[in-house]
Amino acid sequence: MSLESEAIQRAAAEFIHDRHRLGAFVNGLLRDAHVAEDVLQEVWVRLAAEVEKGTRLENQAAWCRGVARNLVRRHWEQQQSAKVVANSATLETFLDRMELAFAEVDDDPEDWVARQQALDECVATLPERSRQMLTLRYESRASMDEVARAMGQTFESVTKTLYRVRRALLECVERKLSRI
Amino acid sequence: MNTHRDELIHRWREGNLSEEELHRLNEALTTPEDRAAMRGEWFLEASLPEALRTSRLLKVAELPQMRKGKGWLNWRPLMAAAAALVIAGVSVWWMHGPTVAPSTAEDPAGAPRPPLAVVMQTINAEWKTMPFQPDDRVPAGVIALTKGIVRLQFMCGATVVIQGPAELDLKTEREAEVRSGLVTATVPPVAEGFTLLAAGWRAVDRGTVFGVDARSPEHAVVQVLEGRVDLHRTASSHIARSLTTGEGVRLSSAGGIEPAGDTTMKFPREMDIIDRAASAERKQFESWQQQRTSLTQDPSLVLYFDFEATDLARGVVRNLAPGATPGSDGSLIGGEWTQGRWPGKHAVAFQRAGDLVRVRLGATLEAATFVASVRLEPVAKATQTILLSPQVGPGQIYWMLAGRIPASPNGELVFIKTPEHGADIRLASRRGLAAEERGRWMQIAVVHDPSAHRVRHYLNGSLIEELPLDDATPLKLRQLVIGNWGFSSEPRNLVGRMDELAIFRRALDETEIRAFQTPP
Repeated sequence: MSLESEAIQRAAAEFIHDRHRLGAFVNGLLRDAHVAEDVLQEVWVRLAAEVEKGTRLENQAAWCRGVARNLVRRHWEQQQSAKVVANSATLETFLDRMELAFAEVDDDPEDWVARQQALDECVATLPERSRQMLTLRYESRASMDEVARAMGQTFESVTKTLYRVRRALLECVERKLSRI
Repeated sequence: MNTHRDELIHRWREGNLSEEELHRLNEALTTPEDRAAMRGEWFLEASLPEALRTSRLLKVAELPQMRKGKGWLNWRPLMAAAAALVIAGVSVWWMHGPTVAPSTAEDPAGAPRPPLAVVMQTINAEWKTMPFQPDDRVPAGVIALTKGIVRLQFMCGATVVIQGPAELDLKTEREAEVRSGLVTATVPPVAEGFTLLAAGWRAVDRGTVFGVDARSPEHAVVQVLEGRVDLHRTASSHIARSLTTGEGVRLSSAGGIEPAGDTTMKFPREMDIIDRAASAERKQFESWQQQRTSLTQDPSLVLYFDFEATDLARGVVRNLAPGATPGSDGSLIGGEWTQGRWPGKHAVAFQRAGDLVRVRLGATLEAATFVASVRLEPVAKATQTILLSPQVGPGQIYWMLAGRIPASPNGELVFIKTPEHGADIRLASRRGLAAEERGRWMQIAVVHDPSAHRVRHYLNGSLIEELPLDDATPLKLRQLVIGNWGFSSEPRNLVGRMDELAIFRRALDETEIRAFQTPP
């Protein structure tokens, strides 16, 4: 595949700019960072092939979400152990809702970047122990049991603390964004 | 806050939602405000790992101020733009050379700092600061050796030989401060004006080879080996003294100059270092060749490519495993022959999407060890295949570097196998390759050990991940595709070089893997 055409360059730049938002959409649906990365990878491959064919995409972000949604659905279909019924009407409605949720911020791609910067600042102000707990859970991908053991706390205590920290971070991000 | 909605969102995230609850969640997501709440949760889920990493790199005070509008300055879009340039094939300096190590090579804005010099050779170097290897780029800052010798070439063309213990502070591409130790500079005409600072003095080259001895904290000795050097006090443009071939002076930090006699002999000479480095490489190559001669007697070896025993014209890579049939030789399709780890060592360079080596191995293995010596191009790239068995079905394997989409330079080592029943088993290391590991030769290995219920990933002889394996399906290696995944429409090809590949029908232990990595 040639990456040298101007169209590919433009598509790649836009894809990279939007990848965190698309990543959140896919990761939110799948709840598995590894599979989500594979899906993102596949979306990129398909996007590059489409652009190479000469297709002009009116709304690349929406097109990528549509492809990602189909790939997620296919993944669920292949997974016998999926905790959702892949072909249920309820699930389709849920996918519609979430696609809409992300389409609602298509007009302001910078908002996502601003959120990430705000989150960086908010995380930096957390107490060390909260950061350690988040690191175990979100970077090392430890289970709640493993986090509890590592932190010397009960499962319930870790669950509550993580819930509180997440809420605090979300509120902090909203506060910072409202001040811009 | 909508507790009912948030509880359902939380339960979706944890994977505990029944269809009835999903229905209720749908009903709770009918307004933009509700959907924004869900989006916020998913944003947090996806963005926290990176925010945690960022928080370790940056103090809050150092974060750029947030401004909105056209002039909004933010390092993330800058990084994204930089990554876009890389994948788009735009010629930027760090695309073609090895990347610099992230701990010193990135400024707080996340952008790589430009290199001031390249490491040409190292001999028995032990580092007090972050270690560098030949071909690494060195940005501004202090490098310190506790022992050994390093030869650097500055971007202006001047080279310096540093003999440890020593500290050198790289300031610009034509200026460095010798804080301690012995340094010899060789300056071609194009780099005239190259300057070494020491003890409050500047030694400015005027077409020369000269040395600086800063082993004493009180003074420095400047010795001209060939040509001429002008000496200035640091803050002055006035030439205090000019030295020519054979002249040496002792400079005190208080400003004194006194003759030091001819101290030429104590300075390391560039050609000596080049010869010694070449000799060390030859010895390593010979040592590797001897070790491999005995390795090919190992009866558990089912495939061994050293990429030396080749028929270049026909693109045949010979399988040197004991008892290997000619039918199990590899066929190079595309790709190019190039230099491996040492001068004289062959390797295959995989560059284009269709480059690969195909092998008809006809083996079924229970325990297995795969070892490869590879050098990835430093450009960030998507998933890169080391090898796979292309037959779909139980026992199929796929060993790869799970590169991410182009914006992310790192990737984990991943081994995927298809079991007799159920979905593919993906066994990935949590640690990705560091930026400085691209552009360097490295040995990667994966051990499939069903009797111990383990899969182990190794990098340069060290265990980096051990994962549980609850599946004993034998690995079916009837055919193998190396350096690609056989479907040229998707860019999962290896972009880099491979100069050795071995497959054993047993689980090698850590000592054996390490011995394989480091020839005696």
